Amino acid sequence: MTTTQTQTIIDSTARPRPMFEIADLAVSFDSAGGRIGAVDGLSLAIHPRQTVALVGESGCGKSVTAMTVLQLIPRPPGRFDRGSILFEGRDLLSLTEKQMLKVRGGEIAMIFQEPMTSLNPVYTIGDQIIEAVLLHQKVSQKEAVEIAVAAMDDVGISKPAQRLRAYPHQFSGGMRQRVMIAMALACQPKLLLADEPTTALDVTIQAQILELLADLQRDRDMAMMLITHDLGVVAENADVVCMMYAGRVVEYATVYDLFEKSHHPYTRGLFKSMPKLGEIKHRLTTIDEVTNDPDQFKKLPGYEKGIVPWWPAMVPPDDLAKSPGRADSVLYEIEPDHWVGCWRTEYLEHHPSRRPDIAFRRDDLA
Amino acid sequence: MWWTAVVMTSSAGLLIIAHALAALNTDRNDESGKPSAGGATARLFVGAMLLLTASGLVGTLGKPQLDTTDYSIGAQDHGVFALFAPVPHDHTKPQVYLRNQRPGGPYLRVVPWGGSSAAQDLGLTDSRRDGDLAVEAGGSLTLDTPLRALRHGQGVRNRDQPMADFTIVTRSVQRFSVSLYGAATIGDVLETIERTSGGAIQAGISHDGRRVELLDLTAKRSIHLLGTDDVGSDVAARLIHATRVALSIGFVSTGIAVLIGITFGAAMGYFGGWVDILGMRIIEIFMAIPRLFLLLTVIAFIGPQWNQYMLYAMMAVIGALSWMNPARFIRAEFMRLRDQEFVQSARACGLPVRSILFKHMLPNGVTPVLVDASFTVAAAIFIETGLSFLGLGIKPPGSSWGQMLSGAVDPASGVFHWWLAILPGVMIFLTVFALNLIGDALRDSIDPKLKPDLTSPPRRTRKVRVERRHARPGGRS
Repeated sequence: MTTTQTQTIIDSTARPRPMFEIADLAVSFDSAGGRIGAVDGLSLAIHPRQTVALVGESGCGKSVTAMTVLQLIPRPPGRFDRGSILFEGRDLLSLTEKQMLKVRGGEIAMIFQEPMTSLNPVYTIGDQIIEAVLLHQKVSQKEAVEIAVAAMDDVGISKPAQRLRAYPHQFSGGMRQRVMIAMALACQPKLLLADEPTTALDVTIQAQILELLADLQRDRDMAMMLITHDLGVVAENADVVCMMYAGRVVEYATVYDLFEKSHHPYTRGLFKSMPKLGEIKHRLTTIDEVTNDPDQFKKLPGYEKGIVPWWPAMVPPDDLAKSPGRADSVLYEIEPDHWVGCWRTEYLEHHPSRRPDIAFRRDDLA
Repeated sequence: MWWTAVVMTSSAGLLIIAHALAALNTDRNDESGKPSAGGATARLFVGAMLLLTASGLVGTLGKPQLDTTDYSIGAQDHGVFALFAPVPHDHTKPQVYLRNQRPGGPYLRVVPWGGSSAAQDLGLTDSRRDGDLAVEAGGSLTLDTPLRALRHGQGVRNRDQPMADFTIVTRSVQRFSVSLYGAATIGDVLETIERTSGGAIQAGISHDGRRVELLDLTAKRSIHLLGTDDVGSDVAARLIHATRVALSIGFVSTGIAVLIGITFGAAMGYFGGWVDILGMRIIEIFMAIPRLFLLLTVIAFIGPQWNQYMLYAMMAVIGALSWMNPARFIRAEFMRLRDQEFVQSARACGLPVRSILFKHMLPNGVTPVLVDASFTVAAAIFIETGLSFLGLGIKPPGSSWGQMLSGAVDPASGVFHWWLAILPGVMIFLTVFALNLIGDALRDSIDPKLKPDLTSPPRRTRKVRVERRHARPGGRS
């Protein structure tokens, strides 16, 4: 055991420090029926120029995570129960509202799912971009206009100077999403939180927007947290995937590892439930069919010792999972750079693995 | 200035009628479903109203009030209504002021009111102010009042008259000076004036013993189209002045209400939680306060010496008790807007709360308040009119439609002059009607459900158009 720990320490010193790191984050909301945990024990790390995809079904806490990063969660009813969000060494959760104003838009920008409603209908595109620029950069009005024009040009909008005077309703959905991106990137953020940026767009525009984001990311060394539930988008764009279910991370791996050898039954069920090109099937397997099979949870090496994939419908293997004030699941590094969300058990309590942190970038392979 | 006001008021009146007709017309014949003629007229009308308000504000806040009283007549004149007038003309009430400058001195000067700096030097800016009494406090003038008893006043210097011992400031006669040598009482003064003028000027003491009154029997009388009221004020002029009072109360109090309401409602809607709960309780408390009775209480505390500030007090109280509706509308709108993506995105951009609330959310949520505001203006005008009718609001010499209405019955004789009731009544009706029309027009133009009205039975012309518009090549029919 001592050797493992030493090994971990050596490893961590050798690895590059992530620019952005979430550790054991827990967010919950007060409701009439009591306190509801939206995110419980989430950890992830993002390096510069890297795209980390947050994947999961609706309501699994993807957007709450992104909103928490910028402290956009209304408190109350929201509450940060545990954890830290480190951005370049600062804990974002401990910043005051005033300090957050500088971070929002300036260092961490966010783009939203609905381009149709994400722009204020009563102001021109230019007004909105320029306002954001003036807020975060010490420039004159004239320079701000130039920056806005350049930003519009960067996202591929033709005649940018002219289009600055247009209102959002004069733009199509794809163009509006480009404007949103221009607005988010006008202040040169280091991290971009893209909350389902292409969900509302059709497939061609989706491809264009994602390509645009990838280009801009490469040019600016920008990190990106890509929130999506589209596995196709993940496969094409993500470097690292953080698979979520019910507020917990169920699997955390590079995009190749995850798609080739998924370890969590939920991930496996998810892949099985998707049609594959060239495969003839009368009926697809549902996720439930996989997760309802107890044998699926016994496949991890070390199952006997207490390494059991976490699943809300399952009876916890150990009383430790019920200990209050702590997450019932822990991320266990089942093989190098591949984490699986497992029940908190006696064994895992004594054999903790390092926090998920993968510096992998698919560009580096090429 | 008088005529500007006349022109503005009449154009406003014309616009009201035009708008009413246009609105009725568009309701009936609206084929396109778009606000066209009615909308344009409404905009014009709003402009005219704003102009009137501006003039009213300038008139109210500025020093000189509209000169509504014609002192050369002083008695009730029935103008174009003379045909119906049962009461004969009465010329007994010229109004003049006597100010003592150096008691016992031998010299009296009479200066005309208008244009002379003498009146202002004497501080006589308001013709009916109590401070203008010529006698010591508590006393009243009789023919036997000795000149010595007259109160000390300031001396007035000007180029032609280095110093006079007494000055009468009057509207009714030309400038003249007489020597009071040997005069000891007021009676002597009056006699001197009559004698010197050769009988052209009648001099006397007002029946309340407050003023010396002069009447130039040879002076030309001015024309009062709508007649004068019981103290000789021109009704037309007072109607116009009352327009300014009513509109400025309406718009200023609504402005106050909307300002408070927006600030309050914005905070409640945006922050929610305990701010919202507390805010709603405060709103409920305020809604429980009857506006009229609080106004009566406030008025009870305003002494007669503060009468000139009554207008502002009414604006403040009506405004302070009308903000609940705007606040609730804004709250509801902001609760809706708060979760809109563009607000989230504004927050994610790092915009400060102030900018999000008032720059991004307010323009998107202010329309219901604008609709409500036009009704609030009408309500405020009603309140002012009602209070003034009861004699509690604007008091003479200020004019108000309500006060003019109540003046239609002569308090002394009990005679009802119906034209004195009709004119302010029509003004109240037209103004409130116009404001309600504006409110309706605004609401209709905002409500998307009302726009293309294809559900009501189409008229012949519309039917043709609708079919033509919907006809598609290869479609059915």
